Amino acid sequence: MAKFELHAKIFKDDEDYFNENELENVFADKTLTDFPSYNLTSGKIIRLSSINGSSLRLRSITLAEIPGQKKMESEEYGPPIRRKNVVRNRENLFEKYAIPELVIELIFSNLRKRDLCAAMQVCKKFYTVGNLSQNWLTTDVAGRPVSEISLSALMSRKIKVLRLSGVKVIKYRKI
Amino acid sequence: MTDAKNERQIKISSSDNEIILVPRNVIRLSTTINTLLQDLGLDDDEATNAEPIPVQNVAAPILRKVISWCQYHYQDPVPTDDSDSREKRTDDISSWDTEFLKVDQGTLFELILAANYLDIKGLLDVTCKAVANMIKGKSPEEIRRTFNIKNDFTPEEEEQIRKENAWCED
Repeated sequence: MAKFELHAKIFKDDEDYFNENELENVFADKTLTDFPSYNLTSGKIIRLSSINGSSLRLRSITLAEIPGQKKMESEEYGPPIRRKNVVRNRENLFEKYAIPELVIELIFSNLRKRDLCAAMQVCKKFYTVGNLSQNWLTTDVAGRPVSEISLSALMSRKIKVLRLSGVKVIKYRKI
Repeated sequence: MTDAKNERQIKISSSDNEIILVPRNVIRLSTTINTLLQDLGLDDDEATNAEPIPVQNVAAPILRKVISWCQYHYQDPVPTDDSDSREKRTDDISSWDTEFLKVDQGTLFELILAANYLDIKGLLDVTCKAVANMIKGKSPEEIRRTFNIKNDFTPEEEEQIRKENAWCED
């Protein structure tokens, strides 16, 4: 029980600091006992985003598991925890709204290559769109270690200029 | 264009059948509606069109938000063509747009769809930048969590893509 209250306190502290991206990364672990202990006095240094696990969101648990405690918390810590968006982001909105590939490509056109690489590793759709992105037209891998796999992958993309000076080509052994 | 024409109101109806009046000059930003008005010769009419133009894919709350964006931006200078070749930036979202885009993810995605359907380039650009900003600096797993995307790669495919893109990692 004490643990639940502790999480409620964290969110209350963070409420002014409402960063949507951060909040969406907050997930509850399968068992709350797996949470590390934190320093309660400074809410902002608590980073839950690296905690993986079930997709249940922390706030949902906080409110659902201790119905009797809600009122007490309100008195002790001020107004109840904001919950208007509790159901938000439980589904893949790219699928829900059938976002066209052209639009995803437009989104990706705003990314640097490092971020585009990360996005391509997300799912098959992102990979397909990212592979066709205009971002690869001019690619500079100079001075980096590059594997043959990377090279042949790059050549299959829309590439016009590939800067290779100082590249060390790594060979992967076939397994 | 005469002043009287500038002040003309266009009737459009949302997918949930709400009728909204928009100044002709404001709705010009929607290439879809602009072209429709021109092609159907509706611009020749002095009066407000009797029949509302149906915008079948956009519900009233989003349509109103889209129109409020157009109302703020309709006097912006038209970007030149070479803007596409410039290096893309995502830190150039104006403060008005930043406020405008302080919405939940669902609304943001609906705005993107509406901007795409109505062909409002400026709005589509800025909403796509907002989504791009949600991707930036994240690992693939963090991106999946942000948008609730399922990893549909096999472990082998995942490893292959990781190898393909390994040079990109810092």
